[in-house]
Amino acid sequence: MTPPEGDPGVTTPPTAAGDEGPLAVLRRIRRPPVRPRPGERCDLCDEVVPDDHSHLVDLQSRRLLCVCGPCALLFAGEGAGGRRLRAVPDRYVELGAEGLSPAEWDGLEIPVSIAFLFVNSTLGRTIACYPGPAGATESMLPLGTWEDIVAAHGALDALEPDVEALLVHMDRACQESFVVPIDVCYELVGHLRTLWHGFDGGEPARRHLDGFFDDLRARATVRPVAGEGARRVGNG
Amino acid sequence: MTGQGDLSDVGRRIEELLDLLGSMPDRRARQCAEELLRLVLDLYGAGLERVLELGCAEGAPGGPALLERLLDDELVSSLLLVSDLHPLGLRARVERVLAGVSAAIPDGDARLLELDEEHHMVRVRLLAPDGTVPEAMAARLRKLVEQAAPEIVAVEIDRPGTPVRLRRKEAVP
Repeated sequence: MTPPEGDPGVTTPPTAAGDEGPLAVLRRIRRPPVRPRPGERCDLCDEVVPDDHSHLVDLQSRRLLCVCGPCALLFAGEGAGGRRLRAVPDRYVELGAEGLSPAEWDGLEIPVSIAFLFVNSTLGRTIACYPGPAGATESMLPLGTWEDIVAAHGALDALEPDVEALLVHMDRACQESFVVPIDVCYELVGHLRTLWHGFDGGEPARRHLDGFFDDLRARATVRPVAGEGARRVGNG
Repeated sequence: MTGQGDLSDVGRRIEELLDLLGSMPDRRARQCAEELLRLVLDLYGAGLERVLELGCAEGAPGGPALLERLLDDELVSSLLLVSDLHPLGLRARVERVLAGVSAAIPDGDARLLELDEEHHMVRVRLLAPDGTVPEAMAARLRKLVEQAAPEIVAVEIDRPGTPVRLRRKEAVP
């Protein structure tokens, strides 16, 4: 028995599997859980970080780490130095005519209208990911496709491995390509996952995508991919 | 037909198999399995929706009374949640659980104090007739809330300095 007087409220962590009923696993599969984020912390020093904090990519675990300003500075400007933790830059570029053509997009065999492609330096190859109800789904690129695309779009050679992505949006209304920080792609996929409904994502997911690309067009500079990407201070 | 206990084993087994697939070098193994399950659930969900329409609509054989009985059943209720077919919203589901618990402890207190949808938390008052919060009772309530409202990740049981015990009986020896 617990005495009621003066006893602070008690918060339970989510219970272990089995306690939530036999169908919990099916529920999770249909709709992966939304975790509350009451004040995110720096993954390196545990300091509380603002919403628009920076990220690092851990090349070993392929995880994104949230970092505070001082920790981000430690890793800024390192370039492709072969270290395990790499800062995500803050470069948003709309490729315009330099972007992928619909024919090239078809060659990638992506089943939905958007995907992001990035060079995984650990594996030494380019990965394509697209959003779905379970988050990012990885797609094997048909052999040689990426090499052909880079050969045709010299600008893509400047894509910083692991931390920058080519985000392609290809449907009846839009055919556009952007160079964006990779955390933006994972954030987008994470949002879509919580909204995803039915076979193709449904109306809420489409609305989110429309808003996302409106913001992206407003933010991105329209210029060829070249030169130094500024360090990241943007949205987390 | 299997009982609720056996069904928990089925749930655990599904999880084991998914983990096994997840540990395979090709990450697509688990993704494919999950997509398969989702598609099967979509088909079953569509069928279940038709069953509800045919059985529980106004003027249907069971009518709204049948729907009430189905919602009272933990298994059916969870199944409706899986398929997004549960007719009650989050607050109504939590309140329904608390009404049930409250009815089971006529001289105690069980009520919803706060529902924080943004942080997926609920705060409830729970008092046994003797003014205490027995751990078993709290655990049962948490389990019921988690089943009825899987969106909720934390159930906070409020234990104020001066508990509300308006209907409290005289102290039991």
